[in-house]
Amino acid sequence: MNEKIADMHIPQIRIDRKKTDLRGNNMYSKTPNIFKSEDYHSRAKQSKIGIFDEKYNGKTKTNYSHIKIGNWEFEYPNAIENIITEIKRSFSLLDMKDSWDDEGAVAVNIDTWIKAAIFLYNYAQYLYVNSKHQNVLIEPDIAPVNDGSIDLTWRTEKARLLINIKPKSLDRVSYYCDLYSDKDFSKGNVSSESINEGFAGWLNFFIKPNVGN
Amino acid sequence: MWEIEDIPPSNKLYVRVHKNNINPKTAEPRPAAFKNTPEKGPDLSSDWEKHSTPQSSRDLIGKQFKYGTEAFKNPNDFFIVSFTCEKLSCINPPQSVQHTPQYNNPEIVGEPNNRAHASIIGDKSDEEIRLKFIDIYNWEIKPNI
Repeated sequence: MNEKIADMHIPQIRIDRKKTDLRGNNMYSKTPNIFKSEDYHSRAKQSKIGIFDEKYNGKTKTNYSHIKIGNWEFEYPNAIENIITEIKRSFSLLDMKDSWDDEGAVAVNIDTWIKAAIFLYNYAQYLYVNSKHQNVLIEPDIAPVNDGSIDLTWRTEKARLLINIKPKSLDRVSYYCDLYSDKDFSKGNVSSESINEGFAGWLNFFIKPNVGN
Repeated sequence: MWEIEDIPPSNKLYVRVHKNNINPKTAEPRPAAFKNTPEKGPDLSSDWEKHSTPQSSRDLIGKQFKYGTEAFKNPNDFFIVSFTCEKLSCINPPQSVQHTPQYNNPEIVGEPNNRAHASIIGDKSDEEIRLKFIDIYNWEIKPNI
């Protein structure tokens, strides 16, 4: 398992910029606390609590914690602890052996889990940083699929979203999202290694209510 | 040998859901529950209500071998949902249903004969269709979570 982690390339994080998100909010105004590839190891050595607030928000003093995913340590605002808890819980997917459904399902491998965890972390972090009210993403259901891929699922009264991270195409993730209507939907794939602001706009439908307002 | 029959659109098909394909927080089936099985197979197995009940469908699971083994499945690891054929044909891409009774003489251990067996045929790899399966199912034997 450690060999596989060591062999993985460092995730390349970049921002695909557009003027506004789905709700018309200006997305240029703040720089998200997302690691660029060259920052990974240097940032991993840092543990400066509060730098995020001072640099990007400046209003309230919020505590930050760290999580290690694969070989990388990530700083996160405690406000998104729900996401981090779910990521930690999902580590148990790696305990599931081949045929975990008794019908020949392929086991989830460590590379797929790392990609899914970092993808989720990045968007949760991004939404928190890039919203007026420090939006906190609702935790998804993180589940294995019989082809060895991982599903991230959100379902609320207003909207639903299914993201699938496949082991054979870790650089892209496919998704479908709608507002329970054939007219209001989005479908396709996005990079797993960058933030797509249009896609992030859809995630705004899965925000915890009354947090940070 | 059993005759292959046409399944009326209003009829129900019973589909098994493994416990690992149930969201423990909501007790709802996950979208992953509605993929073809085995993973590279062309269809999703079901049992037609004309020749089965939710309980008989579940009991039959206990006569099947776990994939790639000669150990029997535990029926208690599975729960049963139903779909009506007309709802399956309405989702996009539409799924077709076909009565596909399974019969061997002598009966094969681990592959029980099943007059009710029906196949839900169609691509289920797409996120949209897996998510929309969740809209049209009904519990027949529900987990206690």
